[in-house]
Amino acid sequence: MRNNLVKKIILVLLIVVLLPVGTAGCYDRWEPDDLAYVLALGLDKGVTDKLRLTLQMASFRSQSGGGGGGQQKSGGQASATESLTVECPSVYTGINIANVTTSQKISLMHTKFIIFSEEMARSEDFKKYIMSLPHYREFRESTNIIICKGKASDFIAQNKTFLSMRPAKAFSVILSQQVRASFIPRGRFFDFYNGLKSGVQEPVAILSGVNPLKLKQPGEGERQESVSGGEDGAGDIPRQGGVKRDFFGAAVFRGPKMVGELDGNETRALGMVTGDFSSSDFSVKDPEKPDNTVVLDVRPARKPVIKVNVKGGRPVVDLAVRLEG
Amino acid sequence: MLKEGKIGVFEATCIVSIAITAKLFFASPRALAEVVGPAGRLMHIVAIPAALVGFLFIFLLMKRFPGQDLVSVFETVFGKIAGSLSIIILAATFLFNSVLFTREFSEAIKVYIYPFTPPSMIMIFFLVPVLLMVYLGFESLARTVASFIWIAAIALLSVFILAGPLYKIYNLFPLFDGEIGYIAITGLKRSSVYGDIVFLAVILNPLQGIGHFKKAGLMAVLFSGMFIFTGLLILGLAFPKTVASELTIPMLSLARVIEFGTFFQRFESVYIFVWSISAILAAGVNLYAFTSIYCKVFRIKDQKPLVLSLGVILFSIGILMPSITVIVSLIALFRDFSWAVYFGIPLLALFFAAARGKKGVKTGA
Repeated sequence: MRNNLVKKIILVLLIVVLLPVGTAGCYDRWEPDDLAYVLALGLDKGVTDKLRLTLQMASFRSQSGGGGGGQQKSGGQASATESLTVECPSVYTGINIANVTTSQKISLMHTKFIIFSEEMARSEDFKKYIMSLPHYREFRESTNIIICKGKASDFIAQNKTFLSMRPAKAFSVILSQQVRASFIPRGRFFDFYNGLKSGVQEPVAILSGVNPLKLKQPGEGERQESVSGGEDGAGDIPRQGGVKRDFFGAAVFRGPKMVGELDGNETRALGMVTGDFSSSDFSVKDPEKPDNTVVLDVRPARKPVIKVNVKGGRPVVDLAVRLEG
Repeated sequence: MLKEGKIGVFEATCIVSIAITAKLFFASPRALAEVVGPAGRLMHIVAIPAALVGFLFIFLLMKRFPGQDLVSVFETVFGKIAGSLSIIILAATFLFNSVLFTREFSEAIKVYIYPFTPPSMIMIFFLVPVLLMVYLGFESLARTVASFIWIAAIALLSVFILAGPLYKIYNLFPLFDGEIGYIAITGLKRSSVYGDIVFLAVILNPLQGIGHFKKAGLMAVLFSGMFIFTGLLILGLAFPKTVASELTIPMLSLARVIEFGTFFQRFESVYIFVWSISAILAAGVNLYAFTSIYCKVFRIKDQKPLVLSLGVILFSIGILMPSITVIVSLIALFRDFSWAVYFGIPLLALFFAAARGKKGVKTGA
C-alpha cells in the first residue's frame, strides 16, 4: 500500500518535471514575434555578386502609433510589408546576410511566392537556385513559383495589397482566385519541381509583370475585336487603378530553362489539355450577328483524354477535351 | 515464467501491424524508390506472398510443438545452447529494429522539426514512453497498441484521401522500372518488412493457442500489406521516381503539400503526432519482443528490473550511429538480409525437427 503510494508520487513528480521540458521546446523554441516572416522572395541576377535577393516581409509594426500593439488604425488600414535587397552568392547566404538588418530571425515558413526574373529563368543559373529550394527545411512545396517580366525587385516593390488588409492572406488568395479563372496555371513548387524532374512532363510557372496602369486613349491603337478576353500577357492588361502587379499567363520551360510564354487564352487552353482548367468566361462573336458578343461560362465536362500512338516513327497525339457551358 | 497475461486475435494483429506499417512513415519508401523506382508497390505483390509462405513455415513449426512458444521450440529442436543462441540472434534483430526506429525517428525529427535539438535529447523523450510500455508489461502494451491503431489508421487514410488532387497517373510509369525478375528478387528479399510476424510465435501462450496464432498472423500480413501497398501506390502517384528518391521522409513530404484553400493547410502537424505515436509503439513492440525472448531464455520471471538497463543499451547503440546516412544504409542492409533471421531460422528449425522426428506433446485441454 505504502509502496504503491511512493510509486505514484514518483510518477507524478516525473511527469511534472519532464512534461514542461518537452512542451517548452528547449533548443528550438521560437516565439511568433521572434521571427520575421518572408512573404515573397525575389531572385535577380546580381551585379557585385551572383544573386540579388529581395525579401518582402510581413511587418508587425503598429501603424496606429502605439497603444496595445494593435495592427489597425481606426480607419482599418492594415500593417504593410517591408522589403530589403541584398547581393549574395546563394539564397540561404542571402537570408543570413539579410538577417543582420533585423532583430528577428528571417523565416520562410509563410512564404507565398518565389519570384524569378525572366532573365534569371532563361539563364543556366535558374536550375541551381530552383534545385536548392527544397533543401531548406522551412521552405514549403505549396509555395508558388512566379516568373516576372523585368526585375523581381521591381515587381516586389509593386506587390501590394488591394482592398485587403492582411498581405499574407491577400497573397495566398490572389493566386487561387486567378487559378479558378484559369488565366494562370497551377504554380505550386510541388508541380513545378515534379515537372522538372519527371521524364513525361515539362514545368510551367505563373507569369507576372508590372502594369503601367495606363489605358490607351482613342487613336492610340485601340483593339476593335476582343474575342475571348485573354489575349494579353502579364503587365500588358489594359487597366487603370488597383495595384501595378499583374499575374497573367504562363512561363513555359524546357527542362530547367524558360523557353517561352503563354498569354491568358493560351494558358486556359493549356489547362484544358492538362485537366487543370476549372472554369472561365469566354467571349465569342455571335456568328449570326457579328456585332454581338456571346459570353459563355465554360467548365470541363470530363477529364481530357490523351492518347499517344507512334505512327511511322512519329508520335501522334489524340486529344479529346469535353467542355460544357 | 514471465507473466504476459492474455490477449485476443485483434490485439495480436494490431501489435504486428503497427510494427510493420510504421516503416512506411520513415525513410523506407525513399530507399525503395531508389531500388525499384515506381514499382515499389509491385514489389510488395511479391513480398506479401513470400511473407505468407514464411509465416506458413513458422505456423507448421509451432503446430508441431503445441503449447510451446518459439523460445521453447528452439530449445527442443536445437538443444539448450544452440537453441538459446539462435533465439538470441532473433532477439538481437528485434533489439536492432527498435534501435533503428529510435534513431531514425530522432533524426527525422531533427531534420524536419527540431533542427537545434541534439538527437540524444529527442531519443531520451522518445524512449521514456517506450520503456514505460515495456515496464508495464505485455498486456498493457497490447491494449495501448490496440487503442492507438485506430488513430494511426484514420490519420494515414486521411493523408491518402486528402492528397487526392496531387495524384497523377503518369507518375506510375514505367510500370516495371527495371526487369520484372529484379523486382521479384527484391520483393523476396524485402519480405523482411513483414518479419515482425515471427513475434507472434514468441507470444504464443498469451495468444491462447495455435488457432489464434494463425488468424492473427494472416490478418496482420494481409492488413499491413494492403496498407503498405496503398501507401506506396499513393506516393508513386504523387511523386515521380526521381523526386521520391530525393525525399527524406516521403509520407511527411506528402502531408506537407496537402492544402485546400487558406483554411486547410499544414496538415503535417496532425500527421507528425500520429507519426510519433506509431514510431513509439513500433519501437515498444520490438523492444518488448527482445525483452520477452531474453527473459524466457534466461528464465527471468519479471521484466521490470531489466527496463532501465535496456533503455541505456538502446540509447547507447542508437547514439553510436554517426549520421542519418549511416542509418539509411543500415536500414537498406537490414531490409535486404533480415529475412534470413525472421524466416530462415524458423525454417531451419522446422527442417531439423522434421529430420530428427521431434514433436511436441499434445496436452489435453
